[in-house]
Amino acid sequence: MTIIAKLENIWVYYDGVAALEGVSIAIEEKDFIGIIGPNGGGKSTLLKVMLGLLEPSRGKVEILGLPPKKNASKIGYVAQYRSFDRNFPINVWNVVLMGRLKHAGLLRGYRKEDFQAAAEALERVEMLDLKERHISELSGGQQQRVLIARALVTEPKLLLLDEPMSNVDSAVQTGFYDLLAQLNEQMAIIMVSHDISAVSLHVKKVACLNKKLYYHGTGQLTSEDLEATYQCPVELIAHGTPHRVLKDHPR
Amino acid sequence: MIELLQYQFMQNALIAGLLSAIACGVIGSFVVIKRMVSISGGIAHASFGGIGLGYLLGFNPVTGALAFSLGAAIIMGTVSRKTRLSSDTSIGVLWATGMALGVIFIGLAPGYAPDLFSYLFGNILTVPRSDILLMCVIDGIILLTVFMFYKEFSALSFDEEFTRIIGVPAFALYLLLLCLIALTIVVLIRAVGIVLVIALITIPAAIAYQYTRSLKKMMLAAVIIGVFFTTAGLWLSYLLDIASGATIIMIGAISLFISTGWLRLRKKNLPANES
Repeated sequence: MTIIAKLENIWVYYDGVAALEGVSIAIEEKDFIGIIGPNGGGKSTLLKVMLGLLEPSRGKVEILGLPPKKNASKIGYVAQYRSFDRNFPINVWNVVLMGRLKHAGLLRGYRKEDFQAAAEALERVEMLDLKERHISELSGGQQQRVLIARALVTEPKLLLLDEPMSNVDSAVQTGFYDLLAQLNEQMAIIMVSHDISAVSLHVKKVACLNKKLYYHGTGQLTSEDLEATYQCPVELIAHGTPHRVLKDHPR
Repeated sequence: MIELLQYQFMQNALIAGLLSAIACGVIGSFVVIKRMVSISGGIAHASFGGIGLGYLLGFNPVTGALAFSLGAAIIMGTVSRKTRLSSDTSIGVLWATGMALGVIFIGLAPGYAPDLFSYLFGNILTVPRSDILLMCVIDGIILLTVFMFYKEFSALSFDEEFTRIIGVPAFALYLLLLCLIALTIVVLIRAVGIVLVIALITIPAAIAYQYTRSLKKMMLAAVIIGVFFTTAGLWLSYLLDIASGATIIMIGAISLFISTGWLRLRKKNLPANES
């Protein structure tokens, strides 16, 4: 198995207060990891470190053997829903092309290969038919698909999703997870979420983050991990069919 | 109106209005969609320091405004992105500091500052040929730069964090965009003055934003709307013998008010499934 991303003993401090404490994780090809944890537990900080937006106070990050900034095109990133203005004068096609901005380079227009990549990415998320649509004319789920297409145009090896379901109707969530499962055949996916039950249903592995990262490289979480993360007893959910296995715990 | 065109000052005023409309249509579109209205206001007011310095040292105040607005743009942009001072705070502080410097410089300058009022509130009827030439050059720089960095500027406006993540020099591009705003302000000072500049940058683009769904069309529409405002304002101010800069802004403000109200009414009357 190729290691796509490797974090070694990452510490991040904001004003002397630790946001991440000694986080280590190796992300392998075809991993689909859900990272859950309470608000303020460092989920966004961890993503920023992986994206190279934030230099850790201590520790080392590698994306396919290089520092994140040197290998930015290998990571596709989908920010929390609606980090942009819905009425912005732009259509689907131009949003997706934006993902090729770096590739196209300064002082030159987009080229044929950029248009091709954008069309392929839209095809993969089943949105090519709507490429001329203005972004305000899309549903929440469709907007999310467009943002995923934008992340796919550089053919990343790792897809980072930050709370991707927070504004997607539950009715279309299933289709959305099917899409992620398809994409997972070609790339590793990390999904940050606070929705424990949804995450544990659809991902292959789960990690808990509350400053420290609890991760065993399996789909199993122990109740000790969850309790350490949330600092209170939590329902334990494990994989398998049927999906939900609840363990008794003291109230 | 036709016989008025024979006068040199009227020709200059019309050309100045056109040049102003081009700069504020193109750059104003970015200001509106990237929500940079208050930072633009800050840059405009800070440029007053340069006007004062021009009076004190005896060079063209517009040149001083150019230097000060560019300096203010770079300082505000850097402080807002690289320090923990909020951009709100840095804008407010530089806004007033520039004005204060201007007041001190003018106070130190010997004698009386005759056309000071026209720098603050504009007087499109007194734009000299030399300033028209300067406006032409600056318009050219603005159009060329936007043409060269169009895809970067539009991505930056849509989603700055994303452009940074994919490895595009977002911060440098942001500073460049702020410098273009500074240049736009210099173009507009003669027409509407430092205090009113922000309205002429914002209003044509804000109206265009209500009716267009692509950035290029928005820019084009904003330029046309701007030409209408400056020309109509000029004519009306001449007719009624009132201040031209303020007239241009009032026509713009009323137009935006009517446009917004009309859209609101129309939306109300649409069937629910279309709104």
